[in-house]
Amino acid sequence: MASITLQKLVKKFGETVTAVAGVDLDVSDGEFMVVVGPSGCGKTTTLNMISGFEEPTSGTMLIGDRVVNHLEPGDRGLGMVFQDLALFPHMTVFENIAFGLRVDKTADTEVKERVSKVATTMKISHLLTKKPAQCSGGEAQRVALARTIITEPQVLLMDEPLSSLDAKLRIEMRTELKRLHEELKSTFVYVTHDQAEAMTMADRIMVMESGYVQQIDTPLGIYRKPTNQFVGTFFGQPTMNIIPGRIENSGSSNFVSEQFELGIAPDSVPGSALGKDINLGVRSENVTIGDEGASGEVRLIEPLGDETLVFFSCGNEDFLVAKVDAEREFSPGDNIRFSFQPGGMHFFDAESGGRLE
Amino acid sequence: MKRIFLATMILMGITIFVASTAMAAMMVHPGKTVEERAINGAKAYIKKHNLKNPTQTMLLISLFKNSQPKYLREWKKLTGVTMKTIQYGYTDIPAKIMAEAVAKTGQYDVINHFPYVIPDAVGAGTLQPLDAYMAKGKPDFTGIDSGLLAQQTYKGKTYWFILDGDHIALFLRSDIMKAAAKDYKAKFGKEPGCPDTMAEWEQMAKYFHTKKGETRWGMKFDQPLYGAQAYRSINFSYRHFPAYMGGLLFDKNMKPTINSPNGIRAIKEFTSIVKYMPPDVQGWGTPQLYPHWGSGRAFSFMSFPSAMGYANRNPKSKISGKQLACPVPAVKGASGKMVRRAPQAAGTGYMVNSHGKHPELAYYFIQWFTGPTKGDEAIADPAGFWDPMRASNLTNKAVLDKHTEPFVKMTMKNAKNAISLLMIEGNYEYFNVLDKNMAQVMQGNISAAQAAKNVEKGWNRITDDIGRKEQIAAWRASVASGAYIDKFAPTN
Amino acid sequence: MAQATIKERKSLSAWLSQEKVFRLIPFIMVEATFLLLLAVPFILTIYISLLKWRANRPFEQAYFHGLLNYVRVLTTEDFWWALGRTFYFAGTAVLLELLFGFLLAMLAYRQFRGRRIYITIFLVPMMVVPVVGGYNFSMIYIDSGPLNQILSPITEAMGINPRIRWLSHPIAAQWAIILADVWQWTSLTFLIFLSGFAALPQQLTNAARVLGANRWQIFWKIHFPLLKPAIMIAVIIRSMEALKLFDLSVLLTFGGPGTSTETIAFFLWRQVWQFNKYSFGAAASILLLFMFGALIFYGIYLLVRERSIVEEESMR
Ligand SMILES: Nc1ncnc2c1ncn2[C@@H]1O[C@H](COP(=O)(O)OP(=O)(O)OP(=O)(O)O)[C@@H](O)[C@H]1O
Ligand SMILES: [Mg+2]
Repeated sequence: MASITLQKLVKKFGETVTAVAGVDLDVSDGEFMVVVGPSGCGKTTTLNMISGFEEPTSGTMLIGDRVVNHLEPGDRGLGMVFQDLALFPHMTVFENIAFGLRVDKTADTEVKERVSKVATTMKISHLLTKKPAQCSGGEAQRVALARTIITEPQVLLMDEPLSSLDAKLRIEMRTELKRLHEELKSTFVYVTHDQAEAMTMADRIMVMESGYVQQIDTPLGIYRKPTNQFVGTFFGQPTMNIIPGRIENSGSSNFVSEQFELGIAPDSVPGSALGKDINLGVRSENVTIGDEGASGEVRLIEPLGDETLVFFSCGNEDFLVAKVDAEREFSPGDNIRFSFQPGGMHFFDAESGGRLE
Repeated sequence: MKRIFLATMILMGITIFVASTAMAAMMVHPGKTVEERAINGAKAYIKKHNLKNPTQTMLLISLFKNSQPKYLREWKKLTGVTMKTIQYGYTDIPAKIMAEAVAKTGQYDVINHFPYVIPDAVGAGTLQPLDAYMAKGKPDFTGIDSGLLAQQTYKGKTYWFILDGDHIALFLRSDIMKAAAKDYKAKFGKEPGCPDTMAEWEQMAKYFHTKKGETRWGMKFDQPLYGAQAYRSINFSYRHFPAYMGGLLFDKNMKPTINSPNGIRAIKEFTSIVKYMPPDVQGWGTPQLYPHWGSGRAFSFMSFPSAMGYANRNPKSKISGKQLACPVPAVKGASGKMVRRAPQAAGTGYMVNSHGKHPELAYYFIQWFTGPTKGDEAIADPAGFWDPMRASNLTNKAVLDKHTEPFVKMTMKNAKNAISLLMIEGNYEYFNVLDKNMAQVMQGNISAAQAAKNVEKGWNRITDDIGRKEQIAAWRASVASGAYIDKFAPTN
Repeated sequence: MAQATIKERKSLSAWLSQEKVFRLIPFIMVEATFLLLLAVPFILTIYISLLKWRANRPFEQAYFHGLLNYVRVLTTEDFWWALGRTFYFAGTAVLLELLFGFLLAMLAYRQFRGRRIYITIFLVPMMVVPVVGGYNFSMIYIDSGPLNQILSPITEAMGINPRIRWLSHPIAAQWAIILADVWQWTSLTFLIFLSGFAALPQQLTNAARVLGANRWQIFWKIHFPLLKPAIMIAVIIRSMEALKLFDLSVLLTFGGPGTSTETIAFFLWRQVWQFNKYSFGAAASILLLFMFGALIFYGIYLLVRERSIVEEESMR
């Protein structure tokens, strides 16, 4: 059993910096948990507390049923892959991989056996005699993984392990990691600030900002029901359209913003959103360009291949964006009409940013 | 015809004689005393060369930085010559002199140092022979003993004027000898006093050597009493060793005499007394030896003569008034006779830089300052370190006041036996070879016989390196000058 | 023909306009200064070393002497003794400086209260002018002085006479010099190692920790190998200096007692400035230059080899 439980975990640096402000998290055995958030939000700090490099200011951490607050990193039964890989530069790849066994004084023959096995799994058998400096980025990445998994840790912590790779390799490695996760069946906690990475890999995602947990949910749950405007805008490409305005209910519902007025289906509007200042969030794929709705002017076209992003303005210079079929052709200056799909609208409190339901 | 010629010749002869004596008389500067002639000589020189505010510089041993300026101010008042000083420790000055030989800056006019820098400095051409100036200034060296006087000359010319009778002497603790007199007499058949021989000194050292805590002669010793102390470190051993040789260090042909029964005896005597000395003595120079002597922890001290004044006047001294000054004891020298030899272990004097602008003017200063009147004044100066050296010191009240009568009497007696250190080129290197080997013997690493062999070999090597012919000439000249008192054995 | 000249001129002006020539000027100046500063004295020294010249004779009387001075140096027993002694001093002192510097740096590189003060204190000896340091030590080493007082409980317990004659016993004096050097220069090795420790990537330590290595293993398997370049730098810098050991043996013992603290620098000083053997000294210093030079280049070779491994990694 290698679940991870964090209870009210707080980390302060000195008096003023609160890096992590009370995190509660349950990662179940074998789960692939991704921690995501903008730079400086406390992801690494959280991970460092789990691994034992940082001592929490308050709160409890359990791995399985064991409180691990005061255990040495090496005694927590976990493995870690570092952002900069942290391969030992003075050792060969073989010795790097073998390190976890060597410090346990494992017999030489067993070391050889297990290293060659892991090396085969990670497809790096040909590198064993080289020094890390002689490996390419992707190879080094695999070496780092091999070094981590050779001790068969129950929990695998990864802090932005792919950030040093180029785009193509990164995507390849994503699949690789998923495969590894399937094979090892251990619990993964994976830190990234790349929302796409989080979406594609995670069983569940924890979103953090400024040390606070914003939302913990499955990728789809987070995409579809962001708990606040921050989460809503953090996920999805292009970024969700946010339009400040009000819902006026005089018979039928009307969304009134500075730029335009748009009638919307009353049943898609939550009661709590009525009559107050809200931010309406609509993802580009939920914006329909057609014959009805408010009018706007096409300003920019961004073809993606199978789809096209249409940036248009209405009333002022804040562009809205819609994702349309690639077949449909627009050019800048075209006058269009647009509306929002009923299920695709998110209502956020203008003041708190919280989701209104 | 013949008579006329003869008469003319006689007449001419008379004329020439009269003229030449008159001229000679004219060439000597006027003045009754050495000092007056020096002052007049300086004034005449300034006038003749039309010098305005003449300024000269002296390379001064820093030990004299407090006592010298007074006399420089006086010189300026008398002659208008400003004499500035540049001061260095005495170990640094030889290198400065040699650097001057290469650079020829004329930066210094007067050089103050010990006589044994003379050979190298003359070889390098840095020192001005003074004989021509002496003819004009007529200095007076009466009352200075021959061993000291001979140091002023090198290869027949004069380069240095002495002002310091710095030959080694032996000091004993009169208070302890008084207390032990009966006991000592019972044992040795005579009362303790100045030892006649080095062997006797060692015997006394052994007898008086007392461990800490012992009670002897009715005295309780809270601190150890070492039987003896003396200079036994590198850079100092060589200044004392000739007292033990009791004869010349080389024969007529520069063959070292040390590797001989007499040389080996000298080495043995020089080193064996060390067992009654403080164990640190091999690392000690004056800054350690003088305070140790003053602290009352030694019975006897062979030293520069200033040790006595130091121990009498230093407020921390525990032995003020408790010292007996003795001449250097005798050894059975090469000749088989008992001889006393008191090496002039340091002894400051004054020289003239040949590269200076006005060497003659510089000369008048040293004639003035080392002359019988001024010189004795300096020797009596409480702030100075010039030691008695002239017969007149025996009757000079100020000198007797400073140095005490028994001491002056002793040191003047001792001066009769005063000898120069080696006055040939490369002497420092010869000295070092000797010092190193003495250290080896004292550390028990080699025997006296081995040391004698090593020194002989080392000295020959140096002689060959410098040039045997030149060295032989210089050595013979210095022996002839009486610098070592001893002369070559006639059989040689 | 005319055309060719035009072409030439054109290319010349092109070349000039590229300013290559001007760009070279600073290098030419740097190299010229370098040559003047290094080569001229060097060549002069070689020249002098081939002469027969003692300063007690005018330079005008110097004459060529071939390699005889070199032969003289190599056959002078004291030269070899002094050299051996110097290696003994330098070796022992540098070893101790490395050891102490390393231990101190190991203690000081972690964060703790008052760390800065400690570090500043450790650095003080290095800033003391050697002459002052030597003078202080000559007081400390007096046989009734503070060092023996402090040591007396230990020495008495061991049955040694507590008045160790630091400056006048041949062997104690050697140690007095070694210890004074160690006191003065441990600061430097400490500083080098401190920056070495500070430059150790924290992530590597963390990686080892998470893999279950204990402190000792982390030190031996990770920190120590990574500190090798720092160690080599410390060894080279300190050895270069220690082989020139001079101040202390002049100030504390003047080479004594006997010759037990006469270092090669002291030997040379004496040959040149006391014995006036300029050309002998020149030959000896050229020989030493080559001996020490070979040693140091070998050291630098080792260093560069060691360095490249680490540097490649950090470049990646
Ligand atoms: N040792 C420390 N001392 C002081 N403040 C720290 C320390 N470590 C982190 N912080 C602060 O804590 C906050 C969270 O840092 P953390 O490294 O956890 O962020 P992160 O989410 O991992 O960011 P990134 O995506 O840039 O790696 C930041 O504001 C950071 O400046
Ligand atoms: Mg981070």
